[in-house]
Amino acid sequence: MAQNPDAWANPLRDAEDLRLPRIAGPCSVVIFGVTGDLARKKLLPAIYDLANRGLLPPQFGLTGFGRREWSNEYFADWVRQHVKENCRTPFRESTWQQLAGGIRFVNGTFDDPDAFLRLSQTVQELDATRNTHGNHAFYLSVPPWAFPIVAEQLAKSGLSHSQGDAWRRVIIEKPFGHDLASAKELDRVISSVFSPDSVFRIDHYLGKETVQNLLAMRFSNMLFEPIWNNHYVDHVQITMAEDIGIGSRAGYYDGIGAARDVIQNHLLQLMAVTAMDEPVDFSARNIHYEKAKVLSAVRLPKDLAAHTARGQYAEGWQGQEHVPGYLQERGISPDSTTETYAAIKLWIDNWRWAGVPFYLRTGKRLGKRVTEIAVVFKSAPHQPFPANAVQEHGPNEIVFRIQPNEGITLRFGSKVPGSTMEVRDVNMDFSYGSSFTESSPEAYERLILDVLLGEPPLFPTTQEVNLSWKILDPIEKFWSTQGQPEQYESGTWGPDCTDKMMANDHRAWRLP
Amino acid sequence: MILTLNDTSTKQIADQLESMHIRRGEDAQGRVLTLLISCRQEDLEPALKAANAASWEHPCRVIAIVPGSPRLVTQPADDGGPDNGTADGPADSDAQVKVVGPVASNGLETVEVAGDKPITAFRQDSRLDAEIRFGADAGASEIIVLRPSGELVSHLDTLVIPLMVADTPVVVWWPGVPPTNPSKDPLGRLATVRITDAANTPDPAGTFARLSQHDTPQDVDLSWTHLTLWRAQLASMLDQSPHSRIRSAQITGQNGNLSVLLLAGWINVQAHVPVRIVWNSRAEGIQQVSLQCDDGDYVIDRCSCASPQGAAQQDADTSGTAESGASEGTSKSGTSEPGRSESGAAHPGDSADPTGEQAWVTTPGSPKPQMVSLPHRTRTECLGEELGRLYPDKVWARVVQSDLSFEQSYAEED
Repeated sequence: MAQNPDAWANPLRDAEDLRLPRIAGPCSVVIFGVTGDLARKKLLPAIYDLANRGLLPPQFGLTGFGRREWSNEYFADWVRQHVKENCRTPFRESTWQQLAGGIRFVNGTFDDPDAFLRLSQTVQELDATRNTHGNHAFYLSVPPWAFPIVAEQLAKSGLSHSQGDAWRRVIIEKPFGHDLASAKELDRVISSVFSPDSVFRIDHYLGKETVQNLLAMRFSNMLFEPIWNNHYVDHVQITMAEDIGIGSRAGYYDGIGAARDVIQNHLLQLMAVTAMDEPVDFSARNIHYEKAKVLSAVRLPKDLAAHTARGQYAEGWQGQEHVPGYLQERGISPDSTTETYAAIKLWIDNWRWAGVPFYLRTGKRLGKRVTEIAVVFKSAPHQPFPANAVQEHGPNEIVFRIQPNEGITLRFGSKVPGSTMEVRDVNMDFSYGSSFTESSPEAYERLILDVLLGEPPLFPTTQEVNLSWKILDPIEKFWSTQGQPEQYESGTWGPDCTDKMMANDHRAWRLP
Repeated sequence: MILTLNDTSTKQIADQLESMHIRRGEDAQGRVLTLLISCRQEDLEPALKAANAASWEHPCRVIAIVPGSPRLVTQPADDGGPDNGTADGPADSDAQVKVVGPVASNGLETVEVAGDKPITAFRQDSRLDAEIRFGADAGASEIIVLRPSGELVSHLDTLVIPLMVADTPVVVWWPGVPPTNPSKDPLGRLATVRITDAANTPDPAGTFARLSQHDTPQDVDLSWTHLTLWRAQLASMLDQSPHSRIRSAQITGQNGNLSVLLLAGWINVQAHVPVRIVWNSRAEGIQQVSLQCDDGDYVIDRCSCASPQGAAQQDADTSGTAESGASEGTSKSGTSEPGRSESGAAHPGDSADPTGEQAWVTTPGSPKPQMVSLPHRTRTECLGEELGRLYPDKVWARVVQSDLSFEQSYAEED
């Protein structure tokens, strides 16, 4: 079909051929921090699952970089073991063989220039033997302090520069700094080494099917968008609750806290996706544009004491298990003021949302593990029923369940069967659940593939990160003057002050 | 859980389904489509197994129609035990059956047993037996098995209409011999997508030829779905070197394999180049595809079959063999050597890769062939892909309507 020699088009690709999946081109992934939890439980299995779904090219390499003195073979065995334990799709020997030939390990520390020289040789060797065409992605699954060091070493060793059409990309995980100033500094360091469109910031929530479905649901239906504004919406609650404690993350978590760890990235991103206007199209540029627009319209309440809440989990019973309080956790100073629970109220100053508060909350050791977005509607302007007929009838809600049991719940009033007129709230559930989830890909699969394909719509930009810090910084500053956060019993829904915060507005948290 | 309803009605089945939903506290919620399966008894269980597995991705209501003979008579058999003919085991009833009169092309010889006494009367009346399967027996779907006989066999559409999920797409799948013209078939007319599996019939080529005469954009054959991974790998292989033009192509595959023919058709339709087919009796499905391009040969070779040794080596750096390679007409095993050195676990050539799922990709200028996992797709995977895709497949339509005649030869046997 290539009539015009200048405009070469792959004759085997056809816009009408929707069956053909997007397969990444020849490339390799280098993982720093490959022995960490994230790599073992998520990244390596995701890479395997991608390969098993036929989405990775035969010309693929995987390099681990770490302190351990491992051989390629030992590392490959180690990867195999963790892939087998954690992969989502069935373990298939042939898929493993496809990956195994390209697995390498480079031993060294981040401050050792020789190690990066060896890494450079390793990726060159992959180019030569695996034909990876000089395309390499560097996944920095490392603590934030290591970002600048690794970036600098990548620059010095020439790894960050590619020749010709080849690409080099870097993937970084949260936290992107701990405030606006440090985020800017981090960005300065990273962007001095990699061009802005080569930097992929992972917010794994954006890779989740449900979050993408939120966009589909909002912008492909007639049903919801007309009521998606301050005429009909009373307020929005966004919750991410964890039932676990900080586990072994004391070193990372203390001093960071729930708001920086979760609100700054996941919850503000969820809020942006919930509140943004319709993008012109689904290109990265236009989605970013709309998200940035809504994030820049955020205003904080004046009285932060009344409209924010924080807490620390105390000793208690999490279900059947007796658990220590935050201050008793190993590695945590007994007078730590780090919050493990944070709730904030935000306004969005635009035509659509003026007057509609957005409540964001997150915490550890809460009642259960759940992430959801609840859009709570105003009450009907008039009830023609006797007052006692509607006493069990609350406001209508649309709840997006992000995890677990992904789906959508619609809550509305319905007549209780019987001779009297009595209206009670009922749920109408759409569940991806029992069914779709079984086969829906992990967020990391989608995101890693997008990096390898160079498609950035699901990755937050520097601008979004900075806008988020702008929102959070004044709250953190206020909190730093407030001493110890309030204690809450593990396994409950947070400190008393969070209920007071809602009561101040004559509202209450949903029980997720 | 399996519920058997003998001599029943569609209303009774629908009521039973409804009451089970209520009792089990579940609704027909989340059922995104109705999958009709029309098949013979012996094809039923494997087909349901595939549908169950696919249902995890696409929760659906499955209605399997297993038509009996329009007229049949049974007589007592010597060894006929009273437990024959229970709803769980109607498959083992062949011994008791004697079919009289015409049998539907997809008909089933079945037997009716009432209590201990096999029926011996000549039956002309219509009768509907059914099963409802739930829970562990139905994956994420619910399954209704209909066994109509007598006059009902010629009115299958009105039989399933009351049982379909409201206002959702309908997919009909013939796991075995399909009707001559699926789009005019009573069940086929109800469907958004009609799936056939010509390769799973006694005469694949004949079936395919019949089907292609009546092909509509809503019809698809699983022999095409089997190709998706191959097509994806081929397209992605070519992505890597832009501006390279395909001159010709050669496909080696199992004698008479439909997918081989369709792959040739696809390359021909998309790239407008001559394609040559080498049939190899030892191959399983597609064995090798080679695209002869301006800058050399792009080859994907699945090394699972013990291909003839000593054929012309097709080295990665041997460019310019485009035409000569095609004219030799022998199957190649050129990638077996690099394969051996690449991976300790695979020794293609002498003892083929035990999984039969590996293929080697060779491109011009690549240092050595790279291994890619290219498993034979299961029926479940193919069915899953079809259920996820309910739009008309225009590429398929173009391939089917192309002339599909290619230069062919047979690989040398040794």
